[in-house]
Amino acid sequence: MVIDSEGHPIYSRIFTSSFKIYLTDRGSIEQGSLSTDSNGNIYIGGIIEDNVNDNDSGFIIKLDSALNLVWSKTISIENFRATRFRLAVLQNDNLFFIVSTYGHFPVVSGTLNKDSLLIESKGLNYFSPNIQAHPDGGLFVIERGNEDTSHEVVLVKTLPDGSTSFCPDFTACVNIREISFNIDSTMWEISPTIPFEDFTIQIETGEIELEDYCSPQPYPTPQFSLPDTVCQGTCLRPTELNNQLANHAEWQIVGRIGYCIADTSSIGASTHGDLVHRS
Amino acid sequence: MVTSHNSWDSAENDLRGFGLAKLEISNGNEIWSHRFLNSTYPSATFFPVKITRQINHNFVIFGTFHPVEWV
Repeated sequence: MVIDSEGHPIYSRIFTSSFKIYLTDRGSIEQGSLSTDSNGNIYIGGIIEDNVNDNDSGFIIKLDSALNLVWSKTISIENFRATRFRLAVLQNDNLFFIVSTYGHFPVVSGTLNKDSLLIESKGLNYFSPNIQAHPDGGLFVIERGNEDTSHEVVLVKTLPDGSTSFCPDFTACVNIREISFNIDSTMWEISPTIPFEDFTIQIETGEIELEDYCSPQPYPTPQFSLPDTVCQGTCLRPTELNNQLANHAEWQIVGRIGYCIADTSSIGASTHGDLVHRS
Repeated sequence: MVTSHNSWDSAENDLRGFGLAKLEISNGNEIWSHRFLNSTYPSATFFPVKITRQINHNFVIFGTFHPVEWV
């Protein structure tokens, strides 16, 4: 909905889809994201069920200033379920996005141009962050620590293009697909609210300890060793710990459920595994 | 700009719609406030998720409808 500076509705649209859309989590984390560019175009984002890939993806809808659809896309990370999607328009009107997988993969960030063309993407060493565009350019990336570091808050200020020069990044595979929504107009009536009342709050200050977040740590790699001797017919599953605590996170080699990385009953054994973050 | 997840008409015990107010940033005094009721989906409650401002100073509100019995 677009309202004027006095609060009167100008445009309103409702978007529906055959896929389930997640914008709020019933009293929990807000999933939606909203940003505008220098031409008044509007970008909204959230999480949507992706029945094509049997997974959840991020989605972006671009609207013009009068809420007419310009394009709509899903942003998916191959083999990983998206749990949080955030977007922000950069100073150059490109669109920066972050897809979280709740620690199952480094957070994937990317940049789209105004026509939804992917300019770049990479994995970053976060868990499930929020992002906020800064008027001077760049982004604030803010996240609370995960289960192991819940007392910590990570705060990062990026360069104007959304990148950082001090944290490592990883290769990421981002898939962008068209998605269609049903769009209808909807009407609003406005009426007065109940009067506001003054109240007093007390703010207590405390000490905050600051330390650098990123430091040179070895990258996690998918290299792992197999036992010297195994019995015929044994199915080796990729469960060995490897690269423990690389990039401040604990990692484990795992594969798809029921999937053998090396089946000793066949000659053409292959080695394949995925890196996941142990949460 | 402040918003509530749902507006409440205490006289009618009505949870539909949502409230929105614009306040002075320096002192919190009210500039205007409205209760928004959707006439297309009168039985649903609207949860405003995000609010931002366009370059022409209009406001954009983005949210989701829920059946009123969820609230």
